[in-house]
Amino acid sequence: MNKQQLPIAAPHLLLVLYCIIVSFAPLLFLFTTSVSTTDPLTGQVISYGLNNFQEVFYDTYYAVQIAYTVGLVSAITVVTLSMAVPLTLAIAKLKNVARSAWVVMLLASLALSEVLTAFAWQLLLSHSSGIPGWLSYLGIISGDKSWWPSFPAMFVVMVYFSLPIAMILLLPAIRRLDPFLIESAYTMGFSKIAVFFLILIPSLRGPIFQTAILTFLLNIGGFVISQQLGKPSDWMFAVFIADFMRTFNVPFAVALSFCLLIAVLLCLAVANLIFGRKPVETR
Amino acid sequence: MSQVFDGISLRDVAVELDGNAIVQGINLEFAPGSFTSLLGPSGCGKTTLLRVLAGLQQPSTGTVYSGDENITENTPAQRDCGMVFQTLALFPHLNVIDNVMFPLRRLKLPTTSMRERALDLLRMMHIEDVAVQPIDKISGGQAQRVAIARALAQGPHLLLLDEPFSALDAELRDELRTEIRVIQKKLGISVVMVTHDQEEAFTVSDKVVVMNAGCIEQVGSPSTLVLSPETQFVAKFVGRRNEINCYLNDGCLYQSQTSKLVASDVTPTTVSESNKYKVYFAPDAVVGSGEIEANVLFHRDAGGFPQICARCCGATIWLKNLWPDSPETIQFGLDMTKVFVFSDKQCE
Repeated sequence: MNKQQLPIAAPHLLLVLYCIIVSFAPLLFLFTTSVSTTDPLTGQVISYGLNNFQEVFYDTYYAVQIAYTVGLVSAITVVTLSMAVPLTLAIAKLKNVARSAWVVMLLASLALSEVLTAFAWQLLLSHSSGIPGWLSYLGIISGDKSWWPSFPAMFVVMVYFSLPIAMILLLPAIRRLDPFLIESAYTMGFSKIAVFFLILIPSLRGPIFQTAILTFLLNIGGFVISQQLGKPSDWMFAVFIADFMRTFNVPFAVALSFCLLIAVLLCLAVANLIFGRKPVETR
Repeated sequence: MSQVFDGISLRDVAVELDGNAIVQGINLEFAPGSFTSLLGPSGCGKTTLLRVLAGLQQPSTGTVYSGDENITENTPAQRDCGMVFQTLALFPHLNVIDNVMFPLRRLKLPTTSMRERALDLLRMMHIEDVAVQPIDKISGGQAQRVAIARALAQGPHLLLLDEPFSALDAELRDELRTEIRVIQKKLGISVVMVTHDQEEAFTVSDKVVVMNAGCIEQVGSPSTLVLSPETQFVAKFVGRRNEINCYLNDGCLYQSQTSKLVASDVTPTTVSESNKYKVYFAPDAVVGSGEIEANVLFHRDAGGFPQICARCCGATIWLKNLWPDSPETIQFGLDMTKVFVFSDKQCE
């Protein structure tokens, strides 16, 4: 490489360097950790082998947990996007001032950490000071039970947590969409519902797919909301990983992480295969 | 949707948006098989009027008739019109033929007949070879043709074009507007086209509606608008005429600033109470003998029609070049058969 080629190659070299430092090196370090066996007392490595992975696949327990987590996060992604697309379309249609107010509100809700969000919802769903208490006081429901921990509570809060992110991600793409696409379909005699499904959704396919991937990735590793608002049977896979980390069985926790990572990569590959390609009409 | 199209008319139509009057007092008739252009500067309400015709914009007051039927409340689907938008609004997720077939989906026709109809339209627009191309892979001219083909797919009686050729180069624009006129004649449909380009309006239209500030200034054939402008705006806007401020004294017009004689025996189109008039004339209305003075700024060839750009009483004017020796100052008169005199609207 001569001096003239260097400025052109520099960004690529930086990118390679970045990948090595941020991705490959930690991944290699984690993989090394996952195949090691440590002394529980001293924490020193005793040997290397695939023991941890063998333990993961000793029975179907962890595989089922991974499948449950992937399924749950997929459902959360679908519900989030089903709400985010029409809501973002409605916000995009607003005048500048109203739209800016909504964007500020969405960004403000993003400023809350997962822990604070979970805690706030615990209060909101508790019988002593939250919605069930008020409804019970008004005589609309009977009983004195909090609505958490429960699967619905965990699910709703995870959707609540993902929704502003999805909307913020979708808003620029929806604003860029040619408004005449919709009007031209109206002049062709299509109803609003038909326009939504036949024009808007396919036209926003790329941004929706990207938002779905990001929402999925954001939730797959989440454990705070799951642990705080779900019952132990509802917990996601990241809770198990965190538990093994807390009990100093780091190699096994890392092995579990690797299994989850592989499952996620497989899911993404399948999703890309199904939704990532441009649609070809076959009339 | 009626099977026989008796033309469409607007009666006392006004549109207000956010308290602002966008168009007002519009009375227009679009005859079957006619080609009408809505001509005017940006923001004069041309597109709003087109949207009223399409049913995309409800008028605040007034009615829209299709023949004798009041269609003011009808949805776009019930209007029997196809529309080409300024952005073309081609569906990005569909290829060329699917875009053209899209309007036919609502009619629930068999796929083969939809495909045949779409291919016929693509053939008519000379773009059958790009039928299976994605929309983002075709040229601007081809995209324009796809948009027109799609608008014609349902066989509308009225085709609405919103500045359809504004993004194209001059050659392609000329080619397409000729083609759209040929198609209009062949199909016998009515076309309403919005444009701010006079040449475009005059080359294809039977009738031109000149609009300004939400109102109709004049309706007429291209030749009527050029030869007999009825308002100050039309006199200046159509033909991009020069403008000189004058006052009237004993039937003679004098330049406001220099009191030089502009013309004698003048009868203005409109009378000014403040005795302030505007004289409008095209570059070819200039004659060598006269008292009007101007300082020459530069000469231009203008494609075989030599012209002079000059400064006359603070205004920049264009004149036919009658002075081959390129003087710095010129004196000229006007051929009064080509001059229009109006009272100065701003001073009334």
